[in-house]
Amino acid sequence: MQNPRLASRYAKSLIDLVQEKGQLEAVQSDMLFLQQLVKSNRDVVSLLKSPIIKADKKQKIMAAIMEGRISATTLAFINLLINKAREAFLPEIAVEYTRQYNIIKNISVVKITTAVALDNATLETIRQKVASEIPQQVQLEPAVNADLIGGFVLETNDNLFDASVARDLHDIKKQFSQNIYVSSIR
Amino acid sequence: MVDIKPDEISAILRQQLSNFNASADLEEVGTVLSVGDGIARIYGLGNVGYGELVEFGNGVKAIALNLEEDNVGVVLMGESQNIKEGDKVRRTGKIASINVGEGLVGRVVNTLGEPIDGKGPITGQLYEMPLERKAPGVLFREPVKEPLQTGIKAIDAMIPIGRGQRELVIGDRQTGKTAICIDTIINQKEFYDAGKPVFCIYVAVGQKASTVAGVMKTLQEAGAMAYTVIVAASASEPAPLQFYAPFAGAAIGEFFRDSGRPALIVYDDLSKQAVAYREVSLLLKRPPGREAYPGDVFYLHSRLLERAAKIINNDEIAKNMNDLPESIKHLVKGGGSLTALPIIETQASDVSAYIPTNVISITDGQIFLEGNLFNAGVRPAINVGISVSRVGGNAQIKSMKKVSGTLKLDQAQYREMEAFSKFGGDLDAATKAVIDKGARNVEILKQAQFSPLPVEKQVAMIYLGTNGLLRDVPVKQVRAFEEAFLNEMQVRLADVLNEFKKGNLPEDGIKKMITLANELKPRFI
Repeated sequence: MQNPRLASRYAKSLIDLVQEKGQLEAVQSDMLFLQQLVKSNRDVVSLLKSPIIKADKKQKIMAAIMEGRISATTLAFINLLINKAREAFLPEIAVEYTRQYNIIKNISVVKITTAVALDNATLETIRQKVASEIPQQVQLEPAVNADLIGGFVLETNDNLFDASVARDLHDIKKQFSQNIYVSSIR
Repeated sequence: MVDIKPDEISAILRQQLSNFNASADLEEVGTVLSVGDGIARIYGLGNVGYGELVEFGNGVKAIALNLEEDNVGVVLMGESQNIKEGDKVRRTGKIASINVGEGLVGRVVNTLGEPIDGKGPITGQLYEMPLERKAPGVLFREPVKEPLQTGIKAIDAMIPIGRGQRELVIGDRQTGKTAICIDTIINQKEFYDAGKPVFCIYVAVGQKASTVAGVMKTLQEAGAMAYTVIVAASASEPAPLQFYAPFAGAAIGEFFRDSGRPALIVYDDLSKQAVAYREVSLLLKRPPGREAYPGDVFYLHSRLLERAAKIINNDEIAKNMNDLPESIKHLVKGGGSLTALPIIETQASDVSAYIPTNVISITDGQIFLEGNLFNAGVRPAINVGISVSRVGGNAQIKSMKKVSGTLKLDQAQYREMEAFSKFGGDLDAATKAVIDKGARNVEILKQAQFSPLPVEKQVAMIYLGTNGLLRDVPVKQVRAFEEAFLNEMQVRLADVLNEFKKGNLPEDGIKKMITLANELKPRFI
């Protein structure tokens, strides 16, 4: 079960601290590394979530994995989480940190999903198009989903712009299922 | 189904396709955090409003009921099986509403207004009516003054109900609560036949589907489905559909009310609706109060019952009514009414439980049904001592008002004296007279199920009772006498009955009636 409120509190405390220390960028890259790690390695997630493995053991394992790859502040933060028995929320907190970091840096992450992978030139054109629409800096995050069939889906924060063929087909299907003409035929 | 020509279909297809708007709009979305027990928690949806309809990817609709700091709690109006964590949820920008129209009459629909009787789609023009709508304000109302005839002697004589009134029907299980309401619906056939129908809506909440089917069959056999809509949310439906069912019924009723026609709505029953609401509230983690009901369970019932109203008989004023849905603005007429008969089931006659006291205080009176009376053969088992109607008196027709004026008092005296008579000792003449009259009145007020009586016949019979004209008829023969007498009245003194119906009590007519009664009496002694 996700817990947005908890994630936002921990992320905020960390961001406040690193802003004072001037390590905002360093910790941001750590958080991206952590996100990458949990995405590619299920075992780490299982380890974090496991109620059987003791806290001191978890701290040792995490220290062994992270040693030299992340900053001391981030490692201390992970140890704090483990001490507070909240390590299971680490992936969520990392995502939340990035979100808050983007707000501070005035970056808007726009996720673009297409049916086939786009080349860099097209992505750049899209980025410029989107950037002209919104005041923030735009960071484009491409994704591929063959289920879309064609077209694209733009996503930012709570807003979604769905111009995919799959959606159009779905809408047509819905229109037919609520066919207003059927009753007059019968 | 009639044959469909192939070109007809493809023409329609082409038309639909050409109308299809392929341009995408910016949508506001959220992500499912958790789902289960008919509710879901959503992250995102920052701008969603309270009571707004949201839609899941698979087409299931939900209503946002809890707007919290970090998530939105929604109640699902459909199956939760295909919804997963991480699914996208869209705002629709609409509030929950159903499509209402003349085509609903005679149909059985669910809370969403979809037909569930297998008779195909609802035909005719449909208008969108919101489930939650503010009740008409003071300006647009009128005092209750027209009677709503239930066809039940005990009610029409002593606890009269007016159009626009809210009269609670309360009692234990198996005391005939539903039967009274069904009889009332059946009795409206008289008005349907006369071309001034009182549209009836029967809302079944949390009942067995077989019970609903039984009610439908009864109404069909009595020819009452021609002016009745059944809204059913049976026990197997999700809890949100159950507690929204009365609101759907009210929306249908409002359509008739606001288009200037009288309507009657039966909520069967509100205690089950409160239970469904409690379930949803607890799952949404709202704090429980007395009997674990949430704090706003009173408001749940008060805002529902407040929608029953008599609308002012002035089209100009009625047209400006508050919170009118856009779709029916051009249809609005004054003079309509929505009468509500909510039903509450008590446990072991405990009327001081939370929900019964709430609803008693909201309504304009209550009809108490008692198991003891029911078992003693007094059916309908109405306890006339504690049943009241706070506004209905103004709504009685004049003849009934005159005739039944002393009835309630007589019965109260009778109940007091009845205890003495049980000791068997000698009684003085006055006491004996009270007891004799009371015992016969009790017989008069008995009535078989599904046999509502027109008001003029009620007047005739109650006149005989309250004037002590049945003294010589043995108590056991009173009902047989009643049947014979009313039959003879209809055949021989139809004009007198007509006068009664108009509200008059002509002296010569009454004389004729008494002569007729005296003529018949020897047969039953």
